[in-house]
Amino acid sequence: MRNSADTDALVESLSRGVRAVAPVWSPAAASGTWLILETAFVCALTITIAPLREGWFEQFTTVPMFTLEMLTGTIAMVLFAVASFRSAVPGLDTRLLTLAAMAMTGLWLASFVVGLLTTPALELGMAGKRDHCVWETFLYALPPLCVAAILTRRRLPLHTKRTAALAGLSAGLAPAVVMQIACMYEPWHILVHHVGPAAAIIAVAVVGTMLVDRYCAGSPRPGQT
Amino acid sequence: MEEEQQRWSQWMMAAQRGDEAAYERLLRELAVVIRAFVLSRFGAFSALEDTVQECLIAIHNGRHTYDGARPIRPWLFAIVRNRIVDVLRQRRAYTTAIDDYEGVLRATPSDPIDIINQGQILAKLDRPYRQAFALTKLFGLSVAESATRLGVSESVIKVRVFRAVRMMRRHLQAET
Repeated sequence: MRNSADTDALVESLSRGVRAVAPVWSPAAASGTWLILETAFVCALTITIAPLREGWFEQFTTVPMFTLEMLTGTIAMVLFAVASFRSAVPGLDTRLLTLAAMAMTGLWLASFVVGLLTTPALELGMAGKRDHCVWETFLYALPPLCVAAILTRRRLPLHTKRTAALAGLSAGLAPAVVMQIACMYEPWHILVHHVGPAAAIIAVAVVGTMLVDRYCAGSPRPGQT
Repeated sequence: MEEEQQRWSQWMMAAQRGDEAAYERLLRELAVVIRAFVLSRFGAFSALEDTVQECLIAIHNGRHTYDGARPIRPWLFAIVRNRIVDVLRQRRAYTTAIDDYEGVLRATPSDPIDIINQGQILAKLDRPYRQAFALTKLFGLSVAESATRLGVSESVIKVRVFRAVRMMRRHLQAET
């Protein structure tokens, strides 16, 4: 059983030769940089595999419901990214941000459900159909997710599964939103082939974090000194 | 409190630049504060000093995440609260803790659980959870020994300890 003399010795040991550390970037700066790189990566890969759907820009600028779908999905992606990086710094509140992100996601998903039940935002068709959009959505999200995992663990996430889930939501949403202008427009197709893989990314993020927590417990995290 | 917060913030920023003296002053003050924090919420128990030291180590490992533009108390106590619950959840039975338990029994005729009931957080738990947690985590009894003492199965003890930790984490987080 340790006593306060041991604590005094620990204090001396920790402070003697304490190394200077570079404070981490603010959550806004870190998440903003990650979002820019993630978006560029997903867009570049998407365009490399196959062109975007013909007429997407006209649809985006002239059909309000479609513009709203794109904007709500994009805003949700941004908010989840900021929430994830904030949650990795002790003492920063993320509840409002997370609620706002979930509300945006709810609106985004609701637009497809409404489109299924009533009138979709765009005329249905096979134009732009991509043969492997399910796999594209899933695989394009993985590298940005891994980068987010490394960057957030360099901080000090106290609730690692929550941080991972938030990062997974943002990483999964990016290719799903891009597919709305790259692939065919049909609400059921979107829900199954674009939103479905995005949901799978969240599971990968959480399970991956649980495995890292279990098997790397006790090892210094990146950035620890 | 505002003055204290500013002092800690300045010392932590100095520590981030490698200032040994400032860092030592900060850790010494924090050790006292954390000890009082744990005592007030959990009462006196054998792993108190272990818990204080684990919190200091967590602060040391996370010092690169402190932003000098923000107040230090929320950052600090988020780490401390999280670490306290982790330490208590992971704590295994130690021989010294069992000796300690025997000493406590000899010293007082009352239920040793009452000794730690002065801790605010533990007092908020229902008695079955408080007993299971205290016996296994604070007094170091094994799950089997605790089950025998309380007259329940081992799986019931494990479930009660798990739920006790979860409830304590919620109570601690509600303090923010």
